[in-house]
Amino acid sequence: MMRKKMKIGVKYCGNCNPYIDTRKIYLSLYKDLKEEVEFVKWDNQTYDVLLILSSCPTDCAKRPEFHGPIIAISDITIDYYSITVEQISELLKQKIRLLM
Amino acid sequence: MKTRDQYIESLKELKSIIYFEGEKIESVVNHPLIQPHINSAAMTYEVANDPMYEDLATATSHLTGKKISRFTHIHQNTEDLIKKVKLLRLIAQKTASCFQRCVGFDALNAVYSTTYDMDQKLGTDYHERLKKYLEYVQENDLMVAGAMTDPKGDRSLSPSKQADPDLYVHVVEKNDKGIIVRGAKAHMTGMVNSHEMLIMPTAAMKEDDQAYAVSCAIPIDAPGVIHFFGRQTNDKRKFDEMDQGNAKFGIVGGECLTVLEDVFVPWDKVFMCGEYKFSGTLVERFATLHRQNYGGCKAGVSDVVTGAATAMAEYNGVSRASHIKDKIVEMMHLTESLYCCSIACSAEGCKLPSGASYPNALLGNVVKQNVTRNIYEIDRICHDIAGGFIATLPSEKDFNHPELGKYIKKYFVGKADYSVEDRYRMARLIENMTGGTALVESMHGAGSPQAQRVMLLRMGNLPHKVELAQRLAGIETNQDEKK
Ligand SMILES: Cc1cc2nc3c(=O)[nH]c(=O)nc-3n(C[C@H](O)[C@H](O)[C@H](O)COP(=O)(O)OP(=O)(O)OC[C@H]3O[C@@H](n4cnc5c(N)ncnc54)[C@H](O)[C@@H]3O)c2cc1C
Repeated sequence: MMRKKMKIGVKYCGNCNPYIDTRKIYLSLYKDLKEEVEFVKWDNQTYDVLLILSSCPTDCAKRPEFHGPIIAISDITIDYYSITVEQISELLKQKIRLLM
Repeated sequence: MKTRDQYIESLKELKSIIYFEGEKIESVVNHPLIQPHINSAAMTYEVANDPMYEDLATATSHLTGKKISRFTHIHQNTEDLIKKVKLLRLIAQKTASCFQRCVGFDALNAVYSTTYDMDQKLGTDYHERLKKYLEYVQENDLMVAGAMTDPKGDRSLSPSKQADPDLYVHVVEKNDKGIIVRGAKAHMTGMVNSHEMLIMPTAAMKEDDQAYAVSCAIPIDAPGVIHFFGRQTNDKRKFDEMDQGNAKFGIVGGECLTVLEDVFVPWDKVFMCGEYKFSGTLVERFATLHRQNYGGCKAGVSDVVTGAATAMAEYNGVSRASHIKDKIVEMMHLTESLYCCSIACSAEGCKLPSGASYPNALLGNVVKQNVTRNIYEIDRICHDIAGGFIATLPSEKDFNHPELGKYIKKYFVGKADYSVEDRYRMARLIENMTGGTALVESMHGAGSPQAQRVMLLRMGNLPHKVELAQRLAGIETNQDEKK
């Protein structure tokens, strides 16, 4: 039996004064993981993991009501731990794979 | 919510009467003078439908619970106020010109809270009417022009004392179906590409001016409404491409003079009619909500001006000079100072009796006062860095001319790594963003500087400051005790 793909709900902050390019981060993630997981919009489907992409440290993206695991990128942090820009995509992928 | 294309399509259905240079404009869509302003306003629809931006560009209606464009929302908390400022900065970074929709947004918020107060005090039903109207605006994602400024004639005289009674919009007739209004509104941003206009009085009215205390909503193509599209310094360039500088989005908001020649308004669209004691509250609320914006949108435009100055320094081969770097830092400092003010007045916002949230008025006025100066300074630095050719460049036609073009391309060359066309285009963008029309908007839009200074004097609690100084100087502050 084929295993159901994990669904990830994606939510961006409003990107008013970005420090990092969250669209680029998402596109690279999508390219690398599209066979393994399904990416959906945060507000029109159910999902297993919520991914918040905030492009500055204020991290003002409003959190929808969700009781599962959340991964948050805000500027160069992942779940509030400092990382470097170069590490963002790789660490994100690792985090997602750990939840599969 | 409407998409960008649905918004543009909806404009084709309007039967508005618009003149420019004595000629009637049959359709605003695709008209070279107006299309850039439509593109700019359309950006407000585009961002609301883009997952990258929807967190700022949409909100949940407190009336229906539905997802709506933030531009039709009534602020429910300080987070809403802050998100408004961020949204304005975001859109301005994309258009580098006025996207117009904030005026109606502020008008809706100001009329919402004022009608609530009026009903509480007077037993009227204006607030219920406004709520129904707001639902209609939200449901159809309408663009509403905020129409406050009257022509005003002799500024030293009140509306009812003017030689011509029509210099301020006023009610000329009331009947069981509604009211008839006459007059005009000046400098109307985005009016010709809006769906509706929300009329408000321009100043606090006295008893003699009762007929002028009027607020109502009117479709921009209602019978009796005539618009005169305003000239801009570069408007003939709208028939060119490169020479416009910002061909897609234009300069400022495509303002017009809107004449109301005995326009009928049904009662359900009337939100103030003679209650002159509340006109001051309405004006003050609108002014504060509108002044709050300027550290958002003007910061966004200044982000682009700073980027343009930095690019131009590079094209000119001076980007490594220390005074250039210092000047660019100064531009960023001034821009972020404006932004700080807007964020601060939002974070320090309060609740009004209607439940709507409202920016701190003292700080809101500081935002706009700073905009009347900082933008001139930012643009001055940009002119300094860019060089004189932004004011003297030959035309795009010469640039592209098959025989003459070679001279322009030869003598306007900069650093070898960049094309002459890039340097030319950037110069035109700078000319567009920092020229007269754009500067005047920073000076007078949302009120001339003195209007803010009057508010600062009123709200700044000077006696308290005097007392602070007296106490530290060892002066007895309670004069009665001293006697
Ligand atoms: C680009 C642009 C877009 C705009 N968009 C809109 C819009 O969408 N909606 C809207 O409602 N308005 C809009 N406005 C109008 C704006 O709010 C007014 O320009 C502003 O309030 C100043 O009014 P005014 O232009 O009539 O200048 P005036 O009121 O004539 O001011 C000129 C000078 O006279 C002074 N002054 C005026 N009256 C007095 C007095 N009684 N005593 C002493 N001094 C006085 C002022 O302080 C100022 O220094 C816009 C303006 C611009 C430039």
